[in-house]
Amino acid sequence: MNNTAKKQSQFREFWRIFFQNKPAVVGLVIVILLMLMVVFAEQIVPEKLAFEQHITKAARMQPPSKEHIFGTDHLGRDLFARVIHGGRYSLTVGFIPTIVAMLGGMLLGACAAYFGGAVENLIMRICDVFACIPGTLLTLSFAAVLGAGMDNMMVAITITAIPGCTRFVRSIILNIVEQDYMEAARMCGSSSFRIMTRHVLPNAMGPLIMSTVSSIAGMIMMGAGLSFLGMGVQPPNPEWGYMLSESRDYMYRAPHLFIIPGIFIMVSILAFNLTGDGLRDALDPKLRR
Amino acid sequence: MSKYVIRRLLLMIPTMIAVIFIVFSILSFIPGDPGRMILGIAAPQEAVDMFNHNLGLDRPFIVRFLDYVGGIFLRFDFGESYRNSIPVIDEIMMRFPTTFRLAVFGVISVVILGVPLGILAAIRRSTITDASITVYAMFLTAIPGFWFGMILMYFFALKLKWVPVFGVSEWKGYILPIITMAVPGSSGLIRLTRVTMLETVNQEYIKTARAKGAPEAIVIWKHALKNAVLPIINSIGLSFSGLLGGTVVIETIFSIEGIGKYIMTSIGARDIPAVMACTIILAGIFCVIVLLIDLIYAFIDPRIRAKFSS
Repeated sequence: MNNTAKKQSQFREFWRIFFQNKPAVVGLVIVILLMLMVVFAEQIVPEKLAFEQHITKAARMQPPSKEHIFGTDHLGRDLFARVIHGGRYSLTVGFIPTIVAMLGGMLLGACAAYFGGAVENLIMRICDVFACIPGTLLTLSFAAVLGAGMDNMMVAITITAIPGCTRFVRSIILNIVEQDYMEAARMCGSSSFRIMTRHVLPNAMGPLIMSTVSSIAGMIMMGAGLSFLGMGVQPPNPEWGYMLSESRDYMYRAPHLFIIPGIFIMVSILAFNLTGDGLRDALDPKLRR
Repeated sequence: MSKYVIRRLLLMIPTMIAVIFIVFSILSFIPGDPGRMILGIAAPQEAVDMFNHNLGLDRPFIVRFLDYVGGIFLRFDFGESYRNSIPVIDEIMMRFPTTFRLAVFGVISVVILGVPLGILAAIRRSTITDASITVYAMFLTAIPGFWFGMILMYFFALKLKWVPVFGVSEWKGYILPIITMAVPGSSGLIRLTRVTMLETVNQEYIKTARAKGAPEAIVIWKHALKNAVLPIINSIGLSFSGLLGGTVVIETIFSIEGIGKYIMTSIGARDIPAVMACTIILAGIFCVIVLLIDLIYAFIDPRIRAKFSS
């Protein structure tokens, strides 16, 4: 009973510190707004508007106006509808690879830390070699093999991210294993399974969640970049990075075509970064200023 | 010390072989038959088989791999392009100076834009200067490089016409690509320099230096920066990884005929030897840079030097 009360107060303390950090709260609010935007995209603006073409001189590349608040693109499609529905693709690329890569990293990192010896050596050496190849190039190689497309791009991004996640998870677990309470748990005769699930995992959860939130930002950037290069989401689907790439031929005549999707990418990345930093500061009192 | 250098140099060989193995395996699993892809659907089966046989593609994986590694280490041969049967290394060597210039000037600009701001933020800690630099770095982290490049291009090339829109035929063409690389890239270095400097400033020996009456400038420049410089150098080295990968995007935006652009056109044409060679060479350059950083570390940090001199 006493134990749960203490846990609750720790949890409350965590959020109290988090909510004192104004940039982090702003970040979290934007993250929630972005998620609502993705979930209720159809209610905000019907999806068919994002695909409806009007290829007449008057309808193409209109600047923002009352009917089209973000204007129209080179095929006369409503940019507002495209940006709102494009969020679904861009944010999916942020979330799914992050979560899958984290799970993969947890599995491999935990194996390395748990078994030690040859297994650890093998896993970590492979991760070291992957770290020698610049991430963008590795993702591009996978994308070249798998072919262009949203699903393939997510697979490519995920595989590229796993070695980094593995190193991160292992370092966290090794850090926990060195703590005194682990010694105490072992002395009490706890089984390895109990130690893993009751001591290591709960203590590793905090840094893992924080790093997951921050890496969502990096994944959104990577996904937008690959789509920009034509390796990701394929036309006519709206995706922020691909929309930037489409707008390149019309930059001079219609600058709103590249400015608006870019702002959405930037704001999403900023929001996830701020939230991640806020979580880190609330989690680790040592880093607090 | 020389023992350490030799050991590190020798370690490069297995690392590079492992890198080549990974890249080679990934790109060997490309679906479809290279001969069929290059010659087209209409080509007769015999011609396709002939094509594959001439390139040695019908041999087992391990034989092809050993042949490839042998070619690289003995003859610096990365195979021939599927498109025009020219050795890919020739094409890469032709494009290499452009990409190299971009990366080197990019890193220099990252350092110039990053380190001084980080130091300034740390010595003006908790003031409005520190806060503005932190906010500035925060925004830079969130700006996608390709978008930043497009904004620069719009204002400075299309609107003001100060610099050419595409290509690097004149030196002015390098300005926007380098800024595009350096400005968003400097955010990490600003934050790292600030944190490292703050950590160093809290050390006991800094208190000692201040207590004995050393002027603040000496304390910062001589005592603090000297000790903060190692992590900063490390971070500069690692930022090369981002810059080398970033050249793909930068060269695509600004239509620069460098290695990055070559990778993209080769991926489009399914020219696997070219993609493979570019990736391996850029990864190799990165490995050499990491090695140099480690050697610099050993050279300037007496603690590391002592460990290996015994």
